[in-house]
Amino acid sequence: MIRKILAKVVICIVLAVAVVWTITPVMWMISLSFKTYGEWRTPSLIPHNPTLDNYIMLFSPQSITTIFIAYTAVLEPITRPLIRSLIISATATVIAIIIGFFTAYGASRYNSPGSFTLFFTLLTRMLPPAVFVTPIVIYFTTLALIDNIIGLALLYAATTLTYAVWILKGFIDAIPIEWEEAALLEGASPLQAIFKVVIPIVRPGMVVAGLFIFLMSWTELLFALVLTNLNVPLSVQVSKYVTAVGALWGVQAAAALVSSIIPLVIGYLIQRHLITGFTFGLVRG
Amino acid sequence: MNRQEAVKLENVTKRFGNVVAVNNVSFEVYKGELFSLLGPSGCGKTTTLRIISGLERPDEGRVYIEGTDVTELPARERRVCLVFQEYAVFPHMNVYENIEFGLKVKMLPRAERDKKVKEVAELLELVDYLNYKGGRLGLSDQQKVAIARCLVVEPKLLLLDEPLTLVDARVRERMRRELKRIQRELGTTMIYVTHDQLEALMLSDRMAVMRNGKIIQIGTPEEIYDNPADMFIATFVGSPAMNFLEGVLEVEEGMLILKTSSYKYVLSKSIESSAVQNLIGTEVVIGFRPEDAEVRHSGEVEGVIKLVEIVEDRKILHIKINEDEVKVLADIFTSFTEGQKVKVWINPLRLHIFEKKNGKKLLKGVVSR
Repeated sequence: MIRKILAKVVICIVLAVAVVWTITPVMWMISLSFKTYGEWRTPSLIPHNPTLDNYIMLFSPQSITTIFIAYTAVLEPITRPLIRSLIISATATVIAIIIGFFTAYGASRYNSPGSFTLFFTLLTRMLPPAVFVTPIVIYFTTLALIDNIIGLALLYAATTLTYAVWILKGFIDAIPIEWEEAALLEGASPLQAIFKVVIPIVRPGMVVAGLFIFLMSWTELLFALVLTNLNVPLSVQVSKYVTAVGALWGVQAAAALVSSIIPLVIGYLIQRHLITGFTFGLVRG
Repeated sequence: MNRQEAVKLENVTKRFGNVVAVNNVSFEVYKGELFSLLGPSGCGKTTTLRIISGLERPDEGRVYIEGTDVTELPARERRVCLVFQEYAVFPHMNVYENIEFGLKVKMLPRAERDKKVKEVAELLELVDYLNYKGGRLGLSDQQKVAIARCLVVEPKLLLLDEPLTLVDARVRERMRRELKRIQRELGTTMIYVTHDQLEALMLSDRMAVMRNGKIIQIGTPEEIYDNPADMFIATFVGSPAMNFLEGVLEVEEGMLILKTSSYKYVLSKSIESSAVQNLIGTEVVIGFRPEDAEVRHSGEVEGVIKLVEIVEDRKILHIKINEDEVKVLADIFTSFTEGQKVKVWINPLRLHIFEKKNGKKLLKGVVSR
């Protein structure tokens, strides 16, 4: 009995530590985003004079006349990088999922391109991304894709494709081939069998893989930093508030908060699919 | 019966690597017939079915459906439907959508689809389940949906690959009767693959027994049961299985005798058939079904009852005759006890004589009056 209670207490403590560990930076970020310039470096969680200045600075830097005026020349309203990031991440996700699905289908049903090659594609994720920076910059310069959001989207699609393939292959492997064969025998074409039988069943897997890829594209900084100049995505924009002139901690916190809202909203909208996706293998037993 | 050909296989062979799954198989199935492919697992019966359906392409040989060579035709153009052993129902659709699937991909108008789905649902007693999601149904209902999905596209041929194997025994029997009823009602040609000899005997108009990729006998269930072509079929079909005694056929004082290593058994008091005469001196295995022998007070050979089993409405007596053990059926009301000494009589008309070295059937019935 005592052991049981003790075990529960220990579990509670561990969980509490974990929660504090994860939540504190987020709380700090929220608090910081509402603090005035003078308060940024004070160690209190509750802002004394809550202000929306940081957010105004974020969305319309031109309208600011206060202390921030020195920075406004270099900053654009955050809505533009936000839209760019949405376009980049969404495009990358759609491309990676579409190509990834068909590659995974081929790998699962026809063992194409062979398990070695398929495993080999993971290699790009095993090396530090910095290794690829130089060749990619050369490619992008040659292709005139520098500072082009479609270029970034293509790059993200290419680098995350291997995840899409591996995640979706697991889902397709779990679908008995008999379902497709039954569809064929009832008069469906192979493509109809894929679209009406396989895709509806792997949809949760596509959602999981899609969210994963979206988040990776959303938060990617290194390549975005190197490959863009004026057309920066959100991740780069967030980093821009720390400048040579000085660090706008409060504005950066507000930017980070805005930046984390989109993935949260998406996650909320698709949570039903997420649960099915994460438990797919388990349900079928 | 209408003897129009529905399917014909001509010297069909299929290899998977070094394994010959189907070896030079030829047979035909007639329209409106329920034809079974019976055999132990791995004998090539499922592959044969998949070749007919078009899901598998034969390495050699031709497949004809209603007289047309379909060997090169893809599965979806053959108008052949297959009910699988499991995974029959699309889990993301309800029963109605499942049945509708084949009609929808053919882009039939909505009203027509609805009419056909409802007709088939009625036939298979699925009307109450139309809104159920596929994955929520029990196995037997899933198989019904699978059959419905096939029937709704009005195939020339309905193939069933052990559809009842996973259904529990009680329901299986009901489903068998229902399947037969539907087959009679619609006159659909069906090919039924099973490893369950009882199922094949109960359902089929005709059946083929397969082993190691080859067809070893084709016939009506009665023919297969009464006149098995070799010892394998004799053992495989019928339950309890056929009894076998090994020995040499000899003639003593005008009587036909089976001489085993330790005793002699008089098979017949006289030899009238010249066919038997030709076999004298050969090493044979004689076979008889448990129902073709009787335990009598006076008989030809003595044995001891080792075990009395009660199966349904009869008793199976396991009788030890020297080294051999045979099973003999007896009425349930008889009072035999274990350890009792009895005499066994085998009906000479229903004796099967097999060649010892290859198990092939030599003769059925030695005549005796």
